[in-house]
Amino acid sequence: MTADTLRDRLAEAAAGAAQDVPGVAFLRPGVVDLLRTRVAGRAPRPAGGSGGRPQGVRVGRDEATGAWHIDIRLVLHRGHRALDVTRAVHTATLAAVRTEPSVSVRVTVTGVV
Amino acid sequence: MAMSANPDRPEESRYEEEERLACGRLLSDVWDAGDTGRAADDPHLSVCPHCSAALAELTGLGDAVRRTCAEEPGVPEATTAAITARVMDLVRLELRPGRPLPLGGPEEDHWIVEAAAARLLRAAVDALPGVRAGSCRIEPLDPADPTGPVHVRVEVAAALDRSLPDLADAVRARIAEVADRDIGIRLGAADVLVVDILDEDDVGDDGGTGGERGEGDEYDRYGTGGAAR
Repeated sequence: MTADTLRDRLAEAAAGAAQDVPGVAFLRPGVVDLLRTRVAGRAPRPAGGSGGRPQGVRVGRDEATGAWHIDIRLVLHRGHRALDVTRAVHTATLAAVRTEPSVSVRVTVTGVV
Repeated sequence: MAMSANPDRPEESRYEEEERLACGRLLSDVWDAGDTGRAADDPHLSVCPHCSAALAELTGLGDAVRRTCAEEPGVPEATTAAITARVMDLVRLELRPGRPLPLGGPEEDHWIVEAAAARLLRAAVDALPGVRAGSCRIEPLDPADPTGPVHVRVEVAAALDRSLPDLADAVRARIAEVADRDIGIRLGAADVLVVDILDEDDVGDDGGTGGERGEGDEYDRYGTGGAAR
């Protein structure tokens, strides 16, 4: 499996886990992400490609150590304690990518609805 | 797009606020250079594959917006240009999402952007009787410790039906309650600045506008300033 394929799989797993946590309204589909999707939608897609990485999730890798870093940005549902939700997202994300030995997860609340 | 590894060490838990390209440049800096025509002055931008791709993406984003506008029948060219400019302003604004504040303990990598936390605090203060919340700024109490407790400064307009120290205490107590119970930020200090006085008409208006905002019930629960004395 190539690094990019694995990166996409981790991003999809993280996004799926995070979105299911109570209190998460949605992962942050920022203007930049939306426009990138639109640009990508007009460009020829690579054969077999998934059509883009999930919005609101960035996955990076420390090339020296091989450790993955997952950055999740979400919008919170009003009425849920922000810290409780980010902790639940953190736990759910780590569980979803447990096949990888070294993963750190950062969770940021970027808005409240 | 370039999905760069975060250059920060996670154990330092220091927040990378902006998107950084794999070459180390900030995406917002590269786009600024492209916007202002300074890209040609910096040889790195044309040589570096990450920066070149980022500049091409900026052009692609603008083109996508223009094409989308142009597809709408009857939209004048000037309107298309104006909409494109506004959307691209939003895009640039989004690259600088605002100050991140630490949620939970210093060992945790959990954050909330200042605007979101301020919105929750402002709404809570605004629901107090005889108080209208204005500007709310939140920053680290110690600038050298971005993962430490935070310092809240909120400006309010207040009714004169109780002493200002009492009112400030009530606002501070509300901020402390919401910071802990609803958000999860560690409050180091809270300053309340009374910047305006509400006259009786303003206070009377509260019930009406509160109802429109769906917050009338919350206002009523706190009763009036007079009853709190």
